[in-house]
Amino acid sequence: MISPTLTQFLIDVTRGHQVQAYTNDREAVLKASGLSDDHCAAIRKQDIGALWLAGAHPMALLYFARACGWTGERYYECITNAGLSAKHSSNS
Amino acid sequence: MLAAATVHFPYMTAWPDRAPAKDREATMSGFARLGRAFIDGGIDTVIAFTSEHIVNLQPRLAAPFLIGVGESHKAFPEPHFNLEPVTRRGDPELAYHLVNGLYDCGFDPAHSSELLFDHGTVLPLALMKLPANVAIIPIIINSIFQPLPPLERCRAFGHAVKQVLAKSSFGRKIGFLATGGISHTVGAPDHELNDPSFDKRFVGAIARGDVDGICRISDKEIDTVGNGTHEIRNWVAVAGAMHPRRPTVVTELPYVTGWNSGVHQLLWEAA
Repeated sequence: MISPTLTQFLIDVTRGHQVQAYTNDREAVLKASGLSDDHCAAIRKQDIGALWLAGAHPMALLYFARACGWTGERYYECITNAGLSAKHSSNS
Repeated sequence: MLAAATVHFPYMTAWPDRAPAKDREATMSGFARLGRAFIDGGIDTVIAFTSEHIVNLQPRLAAPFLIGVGESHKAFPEPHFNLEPVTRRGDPELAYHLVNGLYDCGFDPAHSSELLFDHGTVLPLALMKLPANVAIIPIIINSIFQPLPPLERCRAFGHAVKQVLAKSSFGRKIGFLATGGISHTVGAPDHELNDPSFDKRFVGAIARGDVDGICRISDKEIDTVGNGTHEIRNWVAVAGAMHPRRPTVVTELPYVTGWNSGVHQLLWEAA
């Protein structure tokens, strides 16, 4: 299930109206975002796996990872592993 | 009326040399054939049923159908795909006529005077080498933010577009272009895989004129072959507009190594 709020935030800070503000003062933008503490923590840590599991739209998350300097290979490996871990946890 | 459909994978321009030479040549030859058909047909305005990749549509506002009514359409810069951000001429007179005509047909498309192109539109126009004097009216069909317009609705929308244009008195020579698909995944696991059997079934159905069969494909099935596959909505809209005419299969490459996708192109030649 895609999270529209989380997805919109990732879009705003990578290709939307918050790009400059996020670059200048990440904490202020996060504070004003209304995102949950968990989501904010995952964004701060660039925890792509957690954001994937939290329902970030795949395309928006890919753009966020690229903006964080991630290669495509690293991104795809991370979300694949996150999905496998979540599946393993739910089965055990 | 003339119409074409093509994939728009950006790997084709970002990494042309990763594909085997014969596949690359077949692809570029296909684009050239589509472009020649439009140029030789004296097309004044291309109605481009297209997808985009979070440039115009967002969760904040995601219309099912969005028509570009601007005097011109700028391109979102995508230098990593080796694409020039060319600004293309619009056709606002006809675009507004189209919006109003669609209202009369029971459709309520959104319209934008500042719609931006991305590779979904820039790439096919560039590779088809359509000259700058050819105007473009983009129609973005939402294929990224659920809920998406159902395939049946896309078919009916395409048919309605054709009906409105057929009744217009502007004297334009119109060409339809569908871009996107076919099976592929963006930003999710298995992104390097398309589904050649799905692609073959889909293209085969369009080539046979079996638009009913295509419209029975569920969103759940589309999801299983890749989130980018929802872009087939553009092909369905054009198939709906051109029905019962059948297209010629111009290019059919089930899987191109290095581009991680199949390449498919169709042409409904001028009647």
